[in-house]
Order: sequence, then structure tokens, then C-alpha cells
Amino acid sequence: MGDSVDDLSLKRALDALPKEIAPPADDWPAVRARLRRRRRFPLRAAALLTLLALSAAALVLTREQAGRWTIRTAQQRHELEPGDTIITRGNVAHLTVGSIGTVDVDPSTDAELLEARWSAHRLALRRGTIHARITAPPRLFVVETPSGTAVDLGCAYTLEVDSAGNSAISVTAGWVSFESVGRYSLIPAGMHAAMRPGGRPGTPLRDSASPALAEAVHAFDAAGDAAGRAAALQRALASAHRLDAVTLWHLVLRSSGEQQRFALARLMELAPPSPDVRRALETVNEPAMRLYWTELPGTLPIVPGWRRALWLLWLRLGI
Amino acid sequence: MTVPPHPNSVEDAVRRARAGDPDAFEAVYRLHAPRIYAVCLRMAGDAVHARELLQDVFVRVWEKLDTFRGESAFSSWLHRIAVNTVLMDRRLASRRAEDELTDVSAETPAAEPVERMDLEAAIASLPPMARQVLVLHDLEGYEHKEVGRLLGIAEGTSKAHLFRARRLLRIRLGDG
Repeated sequence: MGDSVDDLSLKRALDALPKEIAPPADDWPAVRARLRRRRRFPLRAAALLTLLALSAAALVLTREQAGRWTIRTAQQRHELEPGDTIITRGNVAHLTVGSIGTVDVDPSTDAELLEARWSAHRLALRRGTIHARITAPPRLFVVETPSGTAVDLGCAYTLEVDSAGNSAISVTAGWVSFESVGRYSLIPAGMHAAMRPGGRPGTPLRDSASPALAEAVHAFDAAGDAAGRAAALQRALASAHRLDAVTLWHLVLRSSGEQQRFALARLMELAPPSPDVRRALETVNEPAMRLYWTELPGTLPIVPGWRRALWLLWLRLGI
Repeated sequence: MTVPPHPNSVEDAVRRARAGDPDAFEAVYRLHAPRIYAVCLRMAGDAVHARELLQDVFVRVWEKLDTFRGESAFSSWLHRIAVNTVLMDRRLASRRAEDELTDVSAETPAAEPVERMDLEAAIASLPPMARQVLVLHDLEGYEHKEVGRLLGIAEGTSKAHLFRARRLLRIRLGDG
């Protein structure tokens, strides 16, 4: 059988074939019936989810690291778990608090690690002295003592507990909230305070406060009757200077009635408030006093909740 | 019935189809179905089977739309899926039996005179492998190297199948 169509004719015939041929029937309904519902994420969303998953994994690792305590002494170094006790006899110990700071433990100190999480670090100091240096959002690092709780507000401080359970705190940077029985003392850098078991936190005093003011404040805190308190308050108001405004601020909140008005007037005299705060303080109330706090010399702003949340987020991301 | 989209709106229809809009996908289907059906028909050599393949191709395209990155023309991407679908179907059906390069003269159909067959019918009557090589190379423009890769044969074998396919066509289109 011979070839009767040459190559060129065949090529022309093939090239001339239509590129499209209409299907003999409409097959779309059959195709449509077979289509599964597509609820797939677009690629960008998938990429974003992947990124989030990786971030979450990194966050878990960061959080694990951020909740880890270690202890280093002259002899050893190891991790601490909640429930571990730290008893230094003639030695010192150096603690690393997650990723937020350090605590140096003096000799003859008895402490226990109560909580070690990325979002909460808690140490019980039963006796002895610690030196804490914390860079963290407020209220992340807490030290319990027999007489109250030292709540870190971003600071460095020395905390001492004697054999009777009395506490003394001296702040060198930032500020600390010293809390007990529903009361608190806000202690900025350069000030100190004391606390007795079962008592309310002592009124903060400047480290360089005059002996007269110190005596008056101690008498005020220790007074068992209204008359004694009033007399001590008058002495304190008389001996206070402008830089003692923080001390007077606490005395205002711890007084009442006429004594409180006297204390507030003296405070306003030493550290005049802005007109807005003055108006807000026509009657003494804690929110207005907190506003006033930020205008006092030597204080730091009381941290609002949103800023604490932001700091926590910052910490969570491990930045 | 949805009116097929203007070419300028194809991109938009594809984008909406990717987002899960079946109406937009219908527009894509109606625009491209004739081109894809032509490929399926010529490679399968059977109109009924070609319609099944056409459906398979568009169901597969729907499922793979997320992988279309826009790096090539949508029509090219669709065409590749169509060819792969047809070839996959061929492999699954084991339809390459008796498709050897021997005894060409024995495969010349005797039932009908070749002079009455038009070119489409002549192509459809080719042995499957020869037909597929011819369609891919001469009609769809693939090089032998790629034809060989798609069909799982050597490049030289592809050339041999093409030679055979053309020879059969010439015979069947000739005066007999």
C-alpha cells in the first residue's frame, strides 16, 4: 500500500485542524455536581498561619526559658524547682530569675522558691537578706515575707527579714510596692520602709531623711491611739521637706478627718499640685491621690494596666 | 447559563474561583472547555470517553486552583493539567497494550476505505501511542523530549511513533 498523501499536505491538513471543538453536550452540570466545597485558605493566610505556628513554638520555648531559675554558689550551679529551699549558711548564692533578673542571697538566709513561671516568679524569704535586680513588667516578681509581700514594680532593692519576722526594704532603683493586710506602701528608689508581722506596711522614708522626721514617722506607725498618731503626725509635718513628699503622701492616706486635711495642706504646700489635681483633691480620695503621686518629686508614674499588658507582651515575645 | 467571560475578565474569574466561587469557575469552564475537549478527544480517540476526561480535567483544576501561582498563563497551566489527566487515565486503564512498533501493515484498517475518513477520524483510528504522540507533537506543539517524558518513552521511540502515525495517516487519507 503506497503513501498517496505527501508530508506537506499532511502537515497543512494537521495545522488546519481547529484548536477547539465544542463538546457535543453541556457537561457543566456534571462537573458542577462533582465539585467539592472549597474552603481552603488562600496561600497568604496559610503562610500567616505557618508563621503564627512557628512563633507559638518559639514562644513556648521562650516561656520555658523565662520561667527557669538557676542557683549558683561557690560549689555548684543547678536549676531550681518550685518547692526548693535556698539555705545559705556561711556562703552566698546567686540566683537567676528566668530571663528577668537576678537575686543575690546573703549568708545565713533561708528562702524557698514558691513559683517559677514566665508570667509569675515568687520567692518566700523567711530569714536573711536578698538583693534583687529585676527588669520586668510590674508585679512579675514577688517576695513573700512573714510580715508582708514585696511586689516588684521594676527595680532593684535589698530586703531583709530578721529572726522575729520583721522586714525592712531599701530600694535602689525603680520602686516597690510593700503590701500587707490590704494596705500598701509605694517605695521609690532612695527610700526604705519596714514592716512587722500582722501590721500594716511602714511609711516610706528617704534614706537621707532627717532624724526628726524618721522619729516622727516611726512614732506614727507605732502609735496605738489617735492622740499619739495625731501628735506624731504634727511632728512629721513640721519636719518634712519637699523631697519628703512621698512620705507625706502616705501619711495623708493613713490619716483621717482634720489630721488628714492638715497633712494634705502641708503636702500641697511642699509639692504644689497642678490645678486639675488640686480640684480633684477638694475631697481626699485615692484616685485623686494617685494622680497627685505622679507629680511628686522622686516618683515614677503608677503603671496603668494597658502598659503592664504591653510589657507582658514584650516579655512573652522574648524581645 | 453563564455567558463566557471576556478574556480581560478571565483573571478575575480565576481569582474568584480560587476563592471558592463556583459561578466564576463555570465562566472559566465555558471559556476553556472547547480547547480542552479537543485535546481530550484527539488523545482519547473516543467522543464519549473524551467527555468523561473533560469532566475529570475541570474537577481536577478546581481542586488544584490554589496551586496556580500565576507564573504562566492560566490557559497553559490548564492545558498541562488536561494532558496529564488524559495520560494518567491512559496509564490507569492500561490502554497501551498491543501498541507495539511492529507489523504496521497489519494495523491498516480494512473495514472502511481510508479515502472516506476525514482527518479527525483518521487520527482517532490510529493506535493509541501513535495517536498520542502525533497529537502532542504535531497538534499541541510539544518537543519529542517532552513527549517522551509525558508518555514514559524514550525520545527516539517518540520519533518512531510519530513517523508511524504520519505514515498511517498518509495511507488512510490517500486514495488507498
